[in-house]
Amino acid sequence: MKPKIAFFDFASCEGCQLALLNCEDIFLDLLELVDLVEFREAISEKSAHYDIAFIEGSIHREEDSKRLVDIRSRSQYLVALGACACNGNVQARSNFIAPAENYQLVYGEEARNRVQIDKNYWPLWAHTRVRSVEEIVKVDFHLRGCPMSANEFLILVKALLSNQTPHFPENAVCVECKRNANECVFDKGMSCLGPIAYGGCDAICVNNGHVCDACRGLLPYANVDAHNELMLSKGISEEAIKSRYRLFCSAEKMSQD
Amino acid sequence: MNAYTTQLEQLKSWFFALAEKQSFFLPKKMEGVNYRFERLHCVNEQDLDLLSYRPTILPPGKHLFPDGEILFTYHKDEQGHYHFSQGSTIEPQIIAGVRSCDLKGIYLMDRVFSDGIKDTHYLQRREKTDIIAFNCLTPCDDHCFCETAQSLDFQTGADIFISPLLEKDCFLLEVQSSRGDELIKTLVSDKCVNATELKQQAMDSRPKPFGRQFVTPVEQLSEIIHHEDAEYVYQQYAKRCFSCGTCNLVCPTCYCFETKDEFELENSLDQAKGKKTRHWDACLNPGFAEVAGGHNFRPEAAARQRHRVRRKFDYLPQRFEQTFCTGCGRCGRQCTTGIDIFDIVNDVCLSVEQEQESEQ
Ligand code: SF4
Ligand code: SF4
Ligand code: SF4
Ligand code: SF4
Ligand code: SF4
Repeated sequence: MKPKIAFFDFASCEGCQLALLNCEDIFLDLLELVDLVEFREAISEKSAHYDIAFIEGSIHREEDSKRLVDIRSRSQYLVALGACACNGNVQARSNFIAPAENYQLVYGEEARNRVQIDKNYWPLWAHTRVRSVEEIVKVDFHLRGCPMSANEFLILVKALLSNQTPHFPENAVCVECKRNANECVFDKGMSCLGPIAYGGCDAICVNNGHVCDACRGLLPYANVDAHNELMLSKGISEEAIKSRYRLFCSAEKMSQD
Repeated sequence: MNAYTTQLEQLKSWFFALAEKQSFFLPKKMEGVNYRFERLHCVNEQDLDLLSYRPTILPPGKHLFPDGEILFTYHKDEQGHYHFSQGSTIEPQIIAGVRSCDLKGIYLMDRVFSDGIKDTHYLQRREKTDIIAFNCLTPCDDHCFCETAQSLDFQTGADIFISPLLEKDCFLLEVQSSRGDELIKTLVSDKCVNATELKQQAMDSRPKPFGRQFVTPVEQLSEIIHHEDAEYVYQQYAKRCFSCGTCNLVCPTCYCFETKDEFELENSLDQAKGKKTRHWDACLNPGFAEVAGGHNFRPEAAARQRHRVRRKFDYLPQRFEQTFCTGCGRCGRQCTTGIDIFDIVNDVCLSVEQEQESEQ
């Protein structure tokens, strides 16, 4: 029997699934080898047990959390797919703002006032904080990035299907940045989160003339204090630095305070 | 050995002529302040900046040991037999504008890769590479310390060694091999009879001392670095280290690599076709010294920092009787948090002196 692979969406743009659909060559090869279930972007069908469950998106409401626990209980491997699932992504910035205030920021003063009196306005915001998948269930593998890297996806699937353990080195973005012979953006008067961020993306942003904003999350050994010092020494304000750390990684425990 | 003099314009035309025939790499200025060895394509495309350029982001030796190099590919035939073939094809190349520090780096890598089991991938590339080196009359910036690290004036391994002379835009070319003789055929130049004298005059114009100097002579460093734990010194540097591996990856004498196996999917999982590649590794990365079962030999950043320093000044010098830091200054220049191996070494030496003083 072919292994069953499933994709589930939570709060996300579904861009990671699209990133996969975009690599048609990999995808078609893969379809020969697995049974694909619950892939909303492609087909729809239900199944009781999954060999690999891919979770896309961050977890906001209690019902989402329950659904996730249920998926976990039916899956052999559970993979967090993309920055939303791995580290909360941009939507987790709302963790630092009171829900009503957030409401006002997005929908304006009137909506904020209405929310106080009309309880039907609330459900969407009735969460205390945006969570990563790992905050709720055990995650076997993380496919980081916004969007995830198709290359890493392939490494993971090939390994799991042939009963091997996939290996994703826990290195800073700088490693791949230097392998690509890039000029460090600090030498061009810009600043970068590469030294404290998870690599694996081939330093794609720096390769293309941008800086790294740590969409793949902060490394477990990230020396945030030293990085903060470095940023301050470049004349960047504390406020701006904090905002930079929070851009993609707000659901991480590390950058809560 | 034959020597010639020539003018800047002639030198340029010669480079372009060589570049028309084969891969020719030369340092090119990038957007910011750095340089990178890039392929020279056509006239006017690249400013020749041989006099002022500071060492490139990656050392030229990396062209002999490219990241992601395919070591071999394999496939299984219908009878189930495996067939292997050589991976990346190796084309002849010329690397020009190689500074003495980097020339020494290449020389040291020649030694390493031919020690014991020969690394044929490296050696084949080396065999097909011509080197045109370039002398320094001033320190390239305040990061370098080539003189104290004994690589300034290093000439071994270059097919042609170029020195700028005192007379403006005038250069001396020393041909050091038969391949150099081949290369120089297309250069418009004059045979030089007083080469030694002209070169000496140019070198006398150098500032003294030339760049930063270790507090302790390099011959004694091995002994000190070997015996001194200097825990406090390494801890101080580790505090601001990101463990990002940049210092390793940009170093001309860091050669550690990891290998990866990859098979093609082709509608099946029987791994009938695939390849083995190798990728630059870095001992400052926390996962570097992790072995099967999860044990890590150097989990602390200070231990990794010490390991790097000992590789350059103790372990490899013991085996090859040469200091394995060329003083190119790359690690200090490119470390985002400003950790410089030159400072670490000096601090270790100073900590020994202080200890001795306090004992007295
Ligand atoms: S990680 Fe990025 S691309 Fe993927 S679902 Fe989240 S927002 Fe979309
Ligand atoms: S540009 Fe960023 S990722 Fe690249 S070396 Fe510099 S700090 Fe590291
Ligand atoms: S380190 Fe020394 S040899 Fe190397 S480029 Fe600088 S001055 Fe020249
Ligand atoms: S480049 Fe600097 S921060 Fe990065 S590992 Fe080396 S010493 Fe540490
Ligand atoms: S340790 Fe630093 S200065 Fe020494 S050779 Fe390596 S990169 Fe150059």
